[in-house]
Formats: sequence, C-alpha cells, structure tokens
Amino acid sequence: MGISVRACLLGFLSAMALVNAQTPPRAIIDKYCVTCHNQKLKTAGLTLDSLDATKPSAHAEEWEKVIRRLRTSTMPPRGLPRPDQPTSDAVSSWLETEIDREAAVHPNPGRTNTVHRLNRTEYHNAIRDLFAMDVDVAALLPGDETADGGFDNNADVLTITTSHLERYLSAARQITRLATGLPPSKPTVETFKVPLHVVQDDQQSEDLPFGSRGGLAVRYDFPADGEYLIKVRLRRQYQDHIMGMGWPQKLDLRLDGKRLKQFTVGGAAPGKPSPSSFAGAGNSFGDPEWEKYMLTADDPLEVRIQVKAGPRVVGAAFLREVWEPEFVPQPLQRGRVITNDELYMDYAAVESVQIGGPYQAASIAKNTPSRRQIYVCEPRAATDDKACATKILSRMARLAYRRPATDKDVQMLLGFFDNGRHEGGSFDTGIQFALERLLVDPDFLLRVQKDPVGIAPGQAYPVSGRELASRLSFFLWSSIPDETLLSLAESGRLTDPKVLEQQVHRMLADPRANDTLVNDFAAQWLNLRRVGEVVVDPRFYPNFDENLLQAFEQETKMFVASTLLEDRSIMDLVKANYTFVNERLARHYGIPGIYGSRFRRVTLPDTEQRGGLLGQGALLAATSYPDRTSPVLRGKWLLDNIFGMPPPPPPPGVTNSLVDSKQGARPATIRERLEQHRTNAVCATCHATIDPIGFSLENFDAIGGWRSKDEGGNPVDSAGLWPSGTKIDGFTGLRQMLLDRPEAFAGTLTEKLMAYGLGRRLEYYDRPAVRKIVRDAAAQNYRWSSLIMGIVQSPAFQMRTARAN
Amino acid sequence: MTGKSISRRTALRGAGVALGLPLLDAMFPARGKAAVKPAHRFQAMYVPNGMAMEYWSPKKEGADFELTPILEPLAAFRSQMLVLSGLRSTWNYIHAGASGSFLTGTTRGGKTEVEILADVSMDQILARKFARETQLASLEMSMDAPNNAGACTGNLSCAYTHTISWRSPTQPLPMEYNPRAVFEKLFGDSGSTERGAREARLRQHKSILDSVTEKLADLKREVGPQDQVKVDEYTEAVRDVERRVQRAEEQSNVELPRMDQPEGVPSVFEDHLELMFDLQVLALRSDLTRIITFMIGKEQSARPYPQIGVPEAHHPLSHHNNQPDIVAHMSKINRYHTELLAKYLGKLRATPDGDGTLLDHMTILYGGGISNSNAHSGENLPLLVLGGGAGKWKGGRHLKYTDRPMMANLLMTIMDKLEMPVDHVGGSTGKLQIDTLPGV
Repeated sequence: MGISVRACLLGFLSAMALVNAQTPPRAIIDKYCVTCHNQKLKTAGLTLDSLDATKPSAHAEEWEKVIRRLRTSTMPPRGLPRPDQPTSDAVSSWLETEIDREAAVHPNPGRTNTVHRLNRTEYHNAIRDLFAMDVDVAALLPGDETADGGFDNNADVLTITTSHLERYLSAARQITRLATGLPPSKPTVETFKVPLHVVQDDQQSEDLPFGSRGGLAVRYDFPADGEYLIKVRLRRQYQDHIMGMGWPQKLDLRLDGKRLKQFTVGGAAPGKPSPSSFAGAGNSFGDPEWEKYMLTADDPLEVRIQVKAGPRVVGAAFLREVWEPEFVPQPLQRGRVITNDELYMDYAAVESVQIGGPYQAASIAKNTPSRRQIYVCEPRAATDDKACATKILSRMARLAYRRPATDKDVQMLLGFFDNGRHEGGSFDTGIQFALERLLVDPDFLLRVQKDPVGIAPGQAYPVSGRELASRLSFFLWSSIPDETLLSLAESGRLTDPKVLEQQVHRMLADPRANDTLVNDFAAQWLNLRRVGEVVVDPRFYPNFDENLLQAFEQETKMFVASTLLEDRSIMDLVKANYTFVNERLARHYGIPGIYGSRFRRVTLPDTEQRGGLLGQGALLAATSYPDRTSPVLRGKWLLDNIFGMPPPPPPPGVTNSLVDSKQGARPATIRERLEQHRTNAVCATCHATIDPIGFSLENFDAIGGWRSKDEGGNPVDSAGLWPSGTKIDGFTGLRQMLLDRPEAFAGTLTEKLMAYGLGRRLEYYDRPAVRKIVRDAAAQNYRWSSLIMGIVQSPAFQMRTARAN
Repeated sequence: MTGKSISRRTALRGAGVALGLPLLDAMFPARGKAAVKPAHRFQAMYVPNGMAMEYWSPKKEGADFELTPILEPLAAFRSQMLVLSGLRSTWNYIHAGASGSFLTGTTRGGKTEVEILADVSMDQILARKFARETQLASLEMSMDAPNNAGACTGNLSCAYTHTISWRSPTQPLPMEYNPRAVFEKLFGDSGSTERGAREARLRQHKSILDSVTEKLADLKREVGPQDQVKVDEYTEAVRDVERRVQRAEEQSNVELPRMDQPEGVPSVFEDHLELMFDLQVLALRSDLTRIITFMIGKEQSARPYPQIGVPEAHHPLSHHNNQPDIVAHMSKINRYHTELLAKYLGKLRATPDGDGTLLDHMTILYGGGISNSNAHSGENLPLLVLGGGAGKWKGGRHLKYTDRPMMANLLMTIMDKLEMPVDHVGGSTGKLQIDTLPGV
C-alpha cells in the first residue's frame, strides 16, 4: 500500500515537470486529442478543440469523459501517438483538481426522483420489519425492472402499473391475514421442490440434522393451530420410475428438528424388473407389480399431525447410509445425465415436500412472532377496543409511513378497523382490514421527497432529518427505518454529523446491513442473481450439478460478507488469500482435506490459481456459455463491474454468432474464432478492448475450474491486453493490475455503491464526490466503512437539488 | 437460488394471484353489443404414447365410417367429429418430437439437454390474436407436473415431452397441472365463484380504493406539477382497478356454477381430470380465454391405469413389440381416454352459448404425435377434429389421405377456420383439403 501511494506521488511529481500545474493542459490536448475530437469530426460526439481548457468546471461533463479515458489509459487508441503515463496522469490530475475545487464550493447533489416506489426486496424487508414475517414476496409481486445493468432500486425505472396495484392489493390481504393469525377459509396444499440438478448425496442444509443425506428443509408459516398433512414425493427418472428403489433407505420427517416419523422406502419391489433401457426389442416392461412399486413406492411417505401456528421448519431427509458397504472409491455411478439416469441401486432423492392444511383449523392463532410484534395491547373488554386499536394502528402507521402518524391517518385506519370488525365480527378482523389498507397506502409504497416550501428553483438544499433516516435505512437495510432512527430524526439530532456517524456504525453492525449489502447490493453488482440461471452442457461438464452453482453463490456471498463484517479493505475483494468452501466446492477448486456440506473459511493453497473475486466460480460460470468460456462476456463483465468503463451495446442488426470450425477440422481456439471481431472494423471498435481483457481469465473453464487445455484440447493461452497496449499476464496479471491502482477499483465500487445508495444513476456531476470518497478512503486503507461513510456524508446523499423551472 | 429461498422464506398460500375482478369484467365482453356472434374457440388435447391403431382407424371412409372400439365412446358426437387418417409429422425423434411437433409442425428440434428449439405453436399464434379480447390470451394445462428443465427422452430437454405450447421457437410454455393455480389464474383470490363471496370481496376492494384515491389527490397537490408523473401512474392504476370493480358490481347478479377454489392436486386421476375439465368449461364459458391446450398425459407418460384393469405403466406397455394381446391391452387406455373426452364434450354441449352450445362454437383437435408406439412412428397419426367449429366444419366424416400430407397442413387449415390465415405453420406445405375432398 505504502509503496503504491509513493509511486503515485512520484508519478505526479515527475509530471509536474512536464505540465505546469498552474497552466491548463491545452498543448497536450491539442497534440493528442483534437486530431479526432474536433468540431469537424466530432468523434464520439466530443469536440475538445472548442472547449475552454482553462476552466474545466464550466464543461465538466465533457472533461469528465476525458479524465476517465486518460485514467484508464484507454485513450488515445492503441497505435496512435500517446503521451507517457506521467504526462497523461498530470493532465487528469489538473482537470480533476479544478473541477473538484469548484464542486467543493458549489456542490451539485443531483435530484433523486420525487417519487420512489419500494421495490420487491424493500417491500419484503419492510414486511419483515413491520410484522416479523419472512414472506416469499417473489411469488406475490412482479419483478422490478432494471436499466442498463443498473440496480433494481432505481427510482426512475420503478413504475406503477395496474398489475402492480392488483398484486399489492392481493398481497396486502394475504400478508395481513397471516400476520394477524386469522385462519384461512379453507385448507391449501403447498409444494416445495428441490431443484432438479441438486445432487442429494450429502447433508443438504444446516437445518437438517448431522448424519442426514439429501432432502429438503422448508420454513413454513403454519397459519393456524390445526391438523396438517406433510407428504414427501421422491425424485423420478424420465420413465417416472422412482430413483434408487433397489435397496431399502430410511427417511426421516421432522418438525423443528424433532422426528415425526421414520420411513423405510425401497428394496421391496416384487416381481421381474424391467431392463435398464427400453431401446432393445421385445417386451421391455417389468411385471406390473414391479412397475407399480417403482411408480408408487413413495405413496406412504406422509404424516398427518397437529401443528401449532407460527413459523416452523419442516425437514425431510434420508439417513446417511452407503449402499455398498465398502470404502473403495468408485467412479461416478451415473449412466447418462443426472436427471434421467436409471440407477436402481443409487441413492433415492427427495423431489418435493407438500404441506397441506389446516384441516379442522382451530380459531385464531395468538402466539406467533407476528402477533407479538403487532399487538402492543389486547382489549380486555369491548369498550377497550377503540383505544387499543388506536394504539396498534398509530404505531404501525408511524413505522410504515416512516413519519409520525397524523390524526387524519389514524382516523382513516380506524374507519377500516370498524368496517373489518363489523364484517368479520372480531377485533382481529378489524385490525387485519386496517392493516390491509395500510399496505396499499401511497405513503407506505412510495418514498416521496418534496422540495421545501419557498426554495429557489435549482437550488441545493439539505434533506430533512426524516428523509435522511429513510435514505439511511433504504441504503443500508433496504427497508424502513427503525424506532431509533425515527426518533432521532424527529428530535432533529440525526443531522448532527456525530450522531449520524454513530448511527451508520450501529446500522452496519445490524445483521440487516450485511443482508442488504451482500444479498442485494453485491448480488446485483456481481450478477450473483444470474448464477442460478447458468446452464451447463453435461456432455462437456459431466460432473456439473446444481450443488456447485449453489456453492458458488454461497462462496461469494460469504466472502463478501467476511470483508464487510471484519471491515476489511475492499482491495481484499481482489487479493484475499482465503475463501469459503464446502466439500463440493473444495473438490472443484482442488483444495484438499475439506469434508461435509458446511462452508468454512480456508486459506488458499495456491494463490496463483485462486484468490479474490476474479477467481470465484460465481462470476466465471455466469460469464460462460453452456459448452465453452466466453472471453467476450468475461471482458465485458470486467469492464462493467470491476473497471467501471462499460462498453456500449453492439449496434443493431449485427450478427453475433461466430463461425464454427468445419466438421473434422482441428477445432479452432476461442482466440482464433474471436479473431473475426478484430478483422471486422465495426466489431473492432469495442471488441479490440473487450476480448483481450477476457482472454486473461482463459485458465478458468466454463464452470470456473482451473485448466491448462481449452475445450478443443489446445493449450490455454491466457495472455491478455489492456487498451493502452500493456500486457496482462493471465489471472495473476489481471489481479496485479488492479492492485497496482487501487483507486481505480475503489472508484468503481464507490460508484456502484453510491448509485445503489441513492437509487439513481450517477452523473458526471457526481464524479467529484466519488473522487473525494476514494481519496479519503485511501487514508483508511479503503475499508468498507470508509466508503460507506463517505457516501453517507457526500452532498448527493445529504442534499438534493430543487426542481429547476 | 430457488432451493435456498424455499427453505428460508414463507410461501403464502394463493401466491402470486391477481384480484378476482377480471372474471366479471371479462365475462361480458359483448355487453352493450347485444346479439354479438359467440366467439369461435380453439382447444388442443394431447394423448401420449401413440395409439393402438388397429382399434382406432375406421376402415370405411366418408360419412359412412364405422365407430371403432376407441372411437365408440364418442358416438354421441359423431355429427361434430372428423376422423383424419394418413397425416404425418417428420420430426419424430423418439417421444420428444411427437409432442414437440404436435402444434408447432416443426421438422427439427434440439439435440441436447440444453438446446431447446422448435417453432411457435399454432395455439400461440392464435393467442396473439385473442390477447386483446380476453383476460388470458391462452391457458396451458396438463395432468402432469411441468418440467421444462433437465433431460428426458434421448437426453433431449424435458420441455419437448411436457408441453405442446411454444411461445417462440426457443420458449416452451410450462403447462399448469395444479387446479388450484388454474383457479387463481382465472378467478383470483375470492376463493369461490359464488356470488356472495365475490360481492364481499368487491366491497372491500372498493372501500380501500376510494380511500387510496383521496390520499393520492392530496399527494398530487403536494408534489407540484412536474413531479406528478409517478403519482399519476398510481392514480391511473387505481382508476383502472376501480373501473373493473364497478363493472363487476354491476354484473354481480350473474350466477356462475359454484366452484370453490381447489385445495391442490387431487391424488386420484379421475378427480384431478374432472377438476381440470370443469375449470376449462368455466374458463371458456366466462370467455376468460378462447385458447386452451391440454395434455391428458405428458408424452412418454408412465401413468398406470389400474382403475380400468391396466396396472402396467403406460409407456413401457406401449412398446408392445406388436404382440396382438399387448396391443389389445393397451387399447383399453386409449379407449378410456376417449371415454373421458366424451364426458368433457358432454359438459360443453350442456353449456348454452349464444344461439347454441359451447361445443357448437369450438374446434377441438384431439390426438397424439405417434401412431404405432412400438416404433415411435409419425406416419398416419391418430387425429380428430371435434366440435361445431362455429359452423365452419362439416363433421361426421372419416377422411383418409393417401398422399401423406404433413400434419402441419391441418394446423394451417384450422388457423383458417379460426379466421387467422397464415402462410405456414412449422414445416407445413400448404393447406389440408378438408371440405372439398372428393367422395365426401
């Protein structure tokens, strides 16, 4: 660290000799830039010859483009004369200093959208915080749009349509009925499936007992005390035969860890079995008794039991047994592909768990976490009703509206309470209906920021304490503010910088911050949401299964979480010598001595092959095709998310398929095939930058395994190239390049985090703030907290520009 | 990842449903335009694992054809039935091609688990036309759980055997097998088609919407003119739903046959099937959709039918090696299916629709993409066209084609009859001559 700061300083000092810091860099701009970027050619819409270089803040938008190109050494293009790095850095430094000086005096905080709808994640978290309920909102609400690779909390993009409103109305009813414990009008059956490509050879979840194998743990909110039916269905192969029925296996059904019943399934098929394949001639089916058993052996796997209302864990898992009592390593016993192999003697697996009920439901469920959260009082007599309802509803309204509830608010809700009590006949039906109304309230679903009365158009103003509380909670928790934040905001103390700092630290220490920054921010920044969609061609990767994908996602989440929890330098995201693996992932990465399904932190044995995000399966698999790697996708991913210089989308009408090698010919390497990108001038504009960066990760195959031969059997060539002409020596070279210029990666991450925190796109006028955050964070070794605090303290976060007329 | 979220989150019953409003709204698309001609609806119904052709094909052609053992249960519908012989499909790869090409007419498909490729299916071309007029452009249903991921027959994607409906050449549509989910798609969260339940729910919606409207008006005043876009969006959405509530209220004196929201998937096949048929009748009669595709069994289904004395799994049984006793045994399944079909047709016929019955205004394509299952043959496919077809078909005939026309040609002709002519469906080579076939 110390070394690179000194190197940076040295670079700056030597540049001073070339470019006098007092004078604008006109001569250098004229010499290297205006050949293309002039009024005649207007290359990329940029005309630098006509711009006043003495006062860059007057044309900050254009000059910020110049700065970015120079800082990333992506201009002038390769092959044209370019200034040496110190000179180029000095020009950027001079421009930045000028622009930043002006911004410090007249900050432009930008204008977050006046109306900002809660997105699905925020809605989920708000319900969690309001009602102590973890509801699967993805099944209830439509997804949220994103714009050009941004985050799904961008206010400009979040629309409100009729179908949204319909879903909000429907969700409000279902959620509040469950939260208040009203029994469902009739029983239902819900099915929870194990994804098809999950191999069930190990303990599947921390919610299932040690020594178990396969299966599924379901967290289920039992809506009422009553009788429920829990039924397990086993996985079938494509002929609908239950897999692994050749030998008896024990299956446990558990509720909150306690065994309800143990079953033995398999090994009892009577009669003559069918041949293992139906391809041959002749009668190809087994005896009817045998077929029947193979189709229905799991029929008895069910229990009917009384369950008390509330969230509980239903577990279904096999006892770990080895069908072949011999510890000789066996080759993978899979005939075809996982989903349709016909193995008779393999492990049986759970396909789904069904929960049906409540049959003969009792009355209202009183003792649930949601009830305890909502019911701050219970009326003892009918005369208490109104007083208690007022108490409950004003408190819920304050939390949901993120502001004190007015008399009007409470009266309105009480009207619904009366109505609901009248129609449903109880205090609870009254509370339920009032809460149903609350959840479709614009003041709940929308964050509205109003300009203060009397403010001059276009003037920047500090946001109110209340708004600041919301900004903080939606940034760090993706949810509504808690009681502490609300009262600090109302007493006016939240805007005190000291108090604000304390609050940020308090919020970061709360598990909600980790959940938000890892599962929402990082998951979107690093495209982790796409990992589940990865499709892999089993002909090329026969060992692939979905457990691996799940492990990838888990690894990256735990890795990012560890840097957050320990408040490490964000540069550890690039260079860490540790990661998190379970047995499945360790095997994939070639890390010895790791057994079992639990994830644990390991020091990497070989940091030449792994270490940091760039060597993690999640991103490597998500940027590949089913049958091969894609240097293009990887290059673009790196430019977008790590280097912060997203390339433009391909022009319309371009065919983006590569010509395949001729049948029988030596398969071309991906490098050879991508050569088409550089022979075609249209493609080359961008791909000359994208592809060579992606090449540097070629040592990782399509599912992130380390390799020295590519798909075609050719030796891997992982030589990459930066647009400036600097060579990148494979994975370690790429990593080193980032470590050499920490401010570049810190800048990208700050931009991403800030766009997420603000719920808007970043603009050129946000650049001074980003640079300041990165500069200040450098002094603190780029700790996460320094970036987050920097964002919270930035003008963009604390202020807002009034609408210009 | 789904597995993860399942284990961590609470799924709410009735997940993902919209309100129960569209039903009434959509029930009277012709309101105010009295005496509008009833719509011509289309349905495809698929049966798997080929057919015992010896027990299916009539020997005689034309109007005088005899009812074979499998066709016999349909005797009551003879005048609204066309039996078609001699049609073929060419992409018949094991079982995948049979269902994969049934409505797409495709002549090629994917070659691996991950290559999912066919053609747009004709029901989806029709759905595009009707999307503007009905609440649901189309309804896809099956008696088997959907499974559009993973490898099934011949290591090809399971999509081919689990659906016959394709929105695009690469987008197979999952078919819903849970009657509860179908009910929610159609009737929302009111829990019942019963009038009282619907009305109570409407009243509640109305009071919520009224109060939200008031609040939005306040909000709109507060944010100033340039920032009102999103508030307006919200208001517009509220008005939209209000309009539906209002119209639904006006119409709520209409009685539908009472049906409560089903609990889940019944474990007995016939119970399940009956629910699915009832839902289809309801969907059609309330004009919520005009296009339905339904698989009585997924292709390569191994379902046994012990209730009719066939305890053997269907698919293995269909590889009968042309042994007459086994073929005869399998034909019981085929006949069982037409018996069930007849029940459904009966329901349609019993439902008044405009100047006739629902059946009068439907074109139903029934059959499968395999004839002789032992060889996965795509020649001489077992196909029926049923229903009055809004007067566009002349039923009561057996048409035997000797020039091996593509089945896709029939699909083209059906599109014609539904007044949506197209220049091809998949690998069609022209329209199938049906009305002008000599000798009929």
